[in-house]
Amino acid sequence: MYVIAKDIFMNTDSKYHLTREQITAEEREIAAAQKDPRQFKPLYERYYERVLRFVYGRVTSKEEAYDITQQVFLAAIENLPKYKSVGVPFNAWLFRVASNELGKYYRKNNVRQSISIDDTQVADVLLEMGEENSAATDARLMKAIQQLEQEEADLLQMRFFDKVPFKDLADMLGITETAAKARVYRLLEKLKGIINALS
Amino acid sequence: MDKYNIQRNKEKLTDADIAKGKDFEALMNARGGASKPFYKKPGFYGIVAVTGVMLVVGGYFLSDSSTTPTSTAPFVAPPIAGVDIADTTWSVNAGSGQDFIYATGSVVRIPANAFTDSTGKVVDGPVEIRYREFHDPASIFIAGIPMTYDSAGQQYHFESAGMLEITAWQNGHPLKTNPAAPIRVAMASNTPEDKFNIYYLDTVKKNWSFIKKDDPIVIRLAADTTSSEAGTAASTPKEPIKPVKADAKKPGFAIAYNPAEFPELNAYKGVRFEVDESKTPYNRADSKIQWEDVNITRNPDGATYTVVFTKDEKEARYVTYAAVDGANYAAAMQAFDAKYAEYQASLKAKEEAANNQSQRMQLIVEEQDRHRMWVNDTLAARAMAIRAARGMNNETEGMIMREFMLENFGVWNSDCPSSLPEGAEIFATLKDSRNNKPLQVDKVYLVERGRNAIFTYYTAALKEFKFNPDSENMLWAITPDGFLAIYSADDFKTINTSKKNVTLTMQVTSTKVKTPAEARSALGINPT
Repeated sequence: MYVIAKDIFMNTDSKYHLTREQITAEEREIAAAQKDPRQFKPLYERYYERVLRFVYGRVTSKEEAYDITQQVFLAAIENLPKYKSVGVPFNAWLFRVASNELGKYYRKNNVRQSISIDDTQVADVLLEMGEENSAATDARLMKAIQQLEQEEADLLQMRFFDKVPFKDLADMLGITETAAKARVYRLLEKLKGIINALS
Repeated sequence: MDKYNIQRNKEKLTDADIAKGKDFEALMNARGGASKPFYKKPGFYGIVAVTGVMLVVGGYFLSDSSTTPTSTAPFVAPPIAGVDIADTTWSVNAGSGQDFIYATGSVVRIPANAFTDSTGKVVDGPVEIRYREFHDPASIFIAGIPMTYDSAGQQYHFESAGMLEITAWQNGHPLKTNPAAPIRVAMASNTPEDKFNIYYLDTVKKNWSFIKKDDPIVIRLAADTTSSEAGTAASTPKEPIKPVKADAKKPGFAIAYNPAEFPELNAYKGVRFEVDESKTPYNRADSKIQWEDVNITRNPDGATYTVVFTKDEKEARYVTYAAVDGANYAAAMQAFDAKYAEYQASLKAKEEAANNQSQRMQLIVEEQDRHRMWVNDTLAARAMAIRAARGMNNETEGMIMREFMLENFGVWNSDCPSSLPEGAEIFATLKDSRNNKPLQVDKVYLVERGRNAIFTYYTAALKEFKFNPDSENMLWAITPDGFLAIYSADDFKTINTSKKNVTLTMQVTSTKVKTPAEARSALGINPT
């Protein structure tokens, strides 16, 4: 049994979280862009960096990231006339589009999904699992990640490597915040189980 | 080969990198098919070229895999031939309107002149209302109501807080709503959660239309004072702490604290935390240690604070009280006197308010009116009585209602979009229990008990069949010869999720179901 550090499960702050006024203003921007694609610019300016970082974390090179990010926004603009708020924020929809575009890119080019990790992030994950941060456990964690399903790998990447807050994670996955936390908890348990089996 | 390409300590994106890629004009040019290249990779336009086709394919990565084939079939199509959820019919005089209460306690308010004919003319005379509700997966399944929502190429699955269908007829002809006299429905719901939205099923566009955020109405009859009293208790004024003059001879600590955490000390300057040596004798050796961290906690007595110093494994813990140094004491006492006078006044006001029964009742009524909206006491009481007669408890939590203002006749839903269940993924092959041969069905319906949702899987998507192994799952289908096929919750428990290829042998009913009750019995879902 291990202890989940409280900051991981308590942290609901979100740099992406919008106030009601901001959401209303954004809805106006979306409505304007639905009529005239050139009005998409404020949304593009607001979300370009986040989408680029999201994509870059999942591909090998910057050039790939630029191409796919461009593709994400093209897809978003093309689909925007059909976009209707379903009670989740616009950025959650945009990240779903990004995920789809990445999926298409992997399939079309027959490449594996990349997972970008820093040493400090590995240490965070090991800490969450109550594992010591050693070269041996680090290596086992890398092997364990290889055994994850795609959705699990993506969840790991979003939560621990992209540092997406639970609230945003929930919106992006179309589940409640509680369910998102439960999913992350299950994922850590699974990783822990694999690591133990490997050791 | 490894499944993922793990990149350690990859080069970070710089501001310059981000600025290099951000180019809205290039995006517009790429969208318009202009020749101005954005990035020179040959693959870029290849990707662009396939966009139009692939965007409609549906989700892959985070989205689901239950792709929907095109079909000319009716959008609402009961899957079991001849079995459907029955309507309740009411007759109303169109010129005068009427309120009706459905079996679940839902209230349908039809105002005068609520109907128009196909030409838009307001109709008069007797009108037949046909009304039904769906509150569990079995009723949704039996009625064949689609529970997926497509928003700009992204497919969501609905979890419902309750759904209704209402139509109006005169002399066998369907009627339309009159925007000048909208019909309202307060639908009794089994869940108080506020995560739902109101949607209308557009059978022409074959999609749900988002109408608005759903704000559930909680109805308690006026005799219930629980919520009001809880609110009163919460606002009980807090007695201010009388400052103690600091004593330089006593041990104490000057600690910078967060004023937001200790608002009771905000009125005072020069606060130090003096050790209450009757509770925790002071150890002078502690003053020689360079502590790394300090934590202050207000104790339940409201007058003392526990101060904890830590360094590595070492800890020093003292019970203290807030004291004000001599220079600030007079000002602190002045502030205290003012605060204490405020406290006494608010106590008196609260007491007077509490003693004024009519004022209390007025507050309660106002609160109730806010929630009750247009459902009056008589209707609410009758609705609650109907629910109680059906064994539904609305005494403790109140009756939860979800309000619909009908712009059109048809299916209305209080839903929240969600993704497909996850946790396990298998390549599922279906078999027919009658002959152990492959079961040929177009689609199957995954249901999680306790969750009012149906997840539709077209058979092509069963190669990536996902479910949550922690849930109580069921899989339903209709065989080509019209029998109900079920893979039960117990069957699900036998699935070895570590295996990729799994055969699911669906138990086919020995006889065809002929009524909703028979279908429910076979599906193991009791009406709610």
